[in-house]
Amino acid sequence: MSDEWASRPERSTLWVMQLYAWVSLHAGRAAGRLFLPAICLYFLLFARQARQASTDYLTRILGRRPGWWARYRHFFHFASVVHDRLFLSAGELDRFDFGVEGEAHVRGALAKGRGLILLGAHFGSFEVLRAGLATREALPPLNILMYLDNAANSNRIFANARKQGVSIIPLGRPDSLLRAMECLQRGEMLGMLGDRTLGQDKIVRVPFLGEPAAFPQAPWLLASLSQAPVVLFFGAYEGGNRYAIRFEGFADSIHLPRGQRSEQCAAYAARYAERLEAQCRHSPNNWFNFYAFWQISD
Amino acid sequence: MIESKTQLEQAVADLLVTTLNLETQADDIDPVAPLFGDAGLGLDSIDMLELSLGVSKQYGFQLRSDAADNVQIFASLRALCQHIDKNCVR
Repeated sequence: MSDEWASRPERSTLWVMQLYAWVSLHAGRAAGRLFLPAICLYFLLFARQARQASTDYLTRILGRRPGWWARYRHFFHFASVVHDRLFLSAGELDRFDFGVEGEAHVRGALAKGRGLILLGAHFGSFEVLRAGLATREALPPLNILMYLDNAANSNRIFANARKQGVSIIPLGRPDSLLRAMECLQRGEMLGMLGDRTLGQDKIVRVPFLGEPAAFPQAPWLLASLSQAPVVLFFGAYEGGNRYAIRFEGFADSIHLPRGQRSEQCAAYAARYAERLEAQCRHSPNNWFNFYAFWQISD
Repeated sequence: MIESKTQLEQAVADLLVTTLNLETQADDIDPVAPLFGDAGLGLDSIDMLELSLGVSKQYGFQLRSDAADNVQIFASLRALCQHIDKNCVR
């Protein structure tokens, strides 16, 4: 398995990024966006690994090798979403136009009283999940399982989340999933992403865009242990200030009989990968796994 | 060279192997080796959850995520057993 994606930006780019974030937050979203083309161009020219990953993905989606313009657009979507994260995590939801589909799946699943796993992907924006639920009346608390790879930003991320009533559960600690389980047992919502693996995580290989790729088993194991229903969510960026948030029913409860666990996990992961593929075909520039996704070894 | 285990450590090592369906033998588990992460037993976060649930069921007290010293409690089989010893109600 690969920790490739978890590698940090170099110190030199880190302070440039922090400076940029500061400028954007003070000068505003429109002013900040003026820098995006130059940033995309820089990464397109110099981030070789990301460029290769984008080319590989786009070739699968388009059925032909992408030109520079197609790759630029892919990078531009990613840069826009990262930039918008600044404003979304600061609670500035008014800047955006959110379309929400399938919110009834969330209510229906919560009515069962066993908590709810909201399973997404590194597709579009994770941060808009809260926005998709924010305008609705009384919902149980939302917890987000995520990697905090940059200690310097962690305190800010925690503080921002707390202000908006969201708890962050950092992954990579021995009790991360114990905490996630307790949230579900209290009937709360748990947001997590189902398309990346780290370190020792158990994986399954299932077809995705024409070739087997590694997906984690953890979402299915957690769902089975907690008996929480699973709803998929995708927050696609659609240009300008528009995001399309889609919820899809996935499973009322997940059963993994002993002895058939990995087969059953593979079946759930395959269905998840199929739904993710459908989203990628619908909004192709929202796929944000910029590393050799199909080449993760066991 | 593996350190020898106490009776409780042996019992929890057995629980570990059966609960997580490990290929390792309980006797081969080093009580001071890290449980979680790349080194030692190499358990992942879902293993840690299952282990916690298994221990809670077997020893009649809840392992909880809000305990401040969880990194210490889950550091090794020995550390976990010391915690069980202090909290066990059976």
